[in-house]
Amino acid sequence: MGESSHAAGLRQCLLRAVGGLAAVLTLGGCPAPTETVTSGTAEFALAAGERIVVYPSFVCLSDALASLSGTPFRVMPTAEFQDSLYPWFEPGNEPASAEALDRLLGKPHVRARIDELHVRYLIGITRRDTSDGFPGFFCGAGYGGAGCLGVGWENKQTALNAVIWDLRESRQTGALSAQTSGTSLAIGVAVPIIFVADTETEACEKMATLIADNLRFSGRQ
Amino acid sequence: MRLVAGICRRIRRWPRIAACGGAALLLFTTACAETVRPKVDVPTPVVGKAPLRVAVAFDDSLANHRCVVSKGYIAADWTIEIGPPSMAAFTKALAAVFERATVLPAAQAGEAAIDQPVIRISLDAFSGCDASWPIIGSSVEVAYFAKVMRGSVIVLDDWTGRGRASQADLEAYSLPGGPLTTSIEGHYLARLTEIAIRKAVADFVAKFEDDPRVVAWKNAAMAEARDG
Repeated sequence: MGESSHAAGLRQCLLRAVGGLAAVLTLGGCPAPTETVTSGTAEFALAAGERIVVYPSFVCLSDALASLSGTPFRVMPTAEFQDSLYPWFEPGNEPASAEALDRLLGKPHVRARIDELHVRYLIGITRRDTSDGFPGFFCGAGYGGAGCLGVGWENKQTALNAVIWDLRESRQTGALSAQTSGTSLAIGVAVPIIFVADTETEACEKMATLIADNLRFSGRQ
Repeated sequence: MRLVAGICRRIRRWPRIAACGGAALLLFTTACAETVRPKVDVPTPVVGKAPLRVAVAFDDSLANHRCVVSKGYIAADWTIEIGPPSMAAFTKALAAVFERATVLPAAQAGEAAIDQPVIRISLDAFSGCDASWPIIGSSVEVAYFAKVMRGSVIVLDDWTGRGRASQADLEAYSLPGGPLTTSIEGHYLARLTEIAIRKAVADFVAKFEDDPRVVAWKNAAMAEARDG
């Protein structure tokens, strides 16, 4: 009786451990390796108190810029920038060319507001995501158990292109790009094991580093 | 409800709790008629104030616009009222555009003989009620039309503002608060309508400032004020 109780306890403990591991692997996933290629140059020279803004809103890049350690520049939240310059930077209403931006910055009230906000550079972002893969992975559940079987993968690519606009000088000062690729993998042998290639976060982090590397600080107010 | 309660009494303990909870949730989220009242607080536009005093009249088609989104397959619908938020957004925006913009009471809105220019704003299109299953994922478009009259003379015609909002916009606009709705679909429709109104008013204001006819109107008004 004692031995049987011990075996049952051990089995239960083992089941819990496997269940916990499955939950962790399924919900969290393991990071899969990614590869990033960066290119481009830009001229940035920020004086003390000046800010940059990412446009249109791209939380991933704004967060990556804000979390860079040892970089003394400030990022203005995109929503705040849009509100402060309403209606000129509403999505779909923003200047679509260098000439349009120049015309907009030529309006005295817009110029005054930008100066008041201390926004020096606008980082115009475009992104493109592509993926393909093999969906050979199945999961099922029924009375008494659940499980997964198969192998599936997804080749992902996130490409970020940034055009840097100097709002004070009303000109483009450079273009940067970061392209990250990786393969997410799911293996199911009763327990699903998932490796996630987070290309978006990686591309954002690399782009943030690229922006920081191209920045100079003049210290001038 | 009596039918659901009757079924519930026949099922025992845990299955009963689960089944009844599920049925209640299903009824709550799918079988309700709800009125969606978007709330829009547009920022004050950054524009050059025109030295003009105008009256603003909202067309009845906008002020009292109501339309219904229906799921079709189940007794659930959402009535969207875009009149009040649209009028509030225009009132705030036009106060920044003109030296003075006085909103005419509904009773006077149809009168032509007012001794100052009148901006008549009407609803040109609203696609919020064309949303079909699944409502989440649908987009909303709103368009306003305006003309400026001075007596019976048209000062400015064909002045429009369009705004379109899709699911992708929800991340970009972190709107404060939020409408009071009891269903996910109602909340979604309200948020997209708010964003579409905001974009349409932005388009309207931006076009106004850059329109050469408006520049001519402003110059004429300034010359008139100078001359006497």
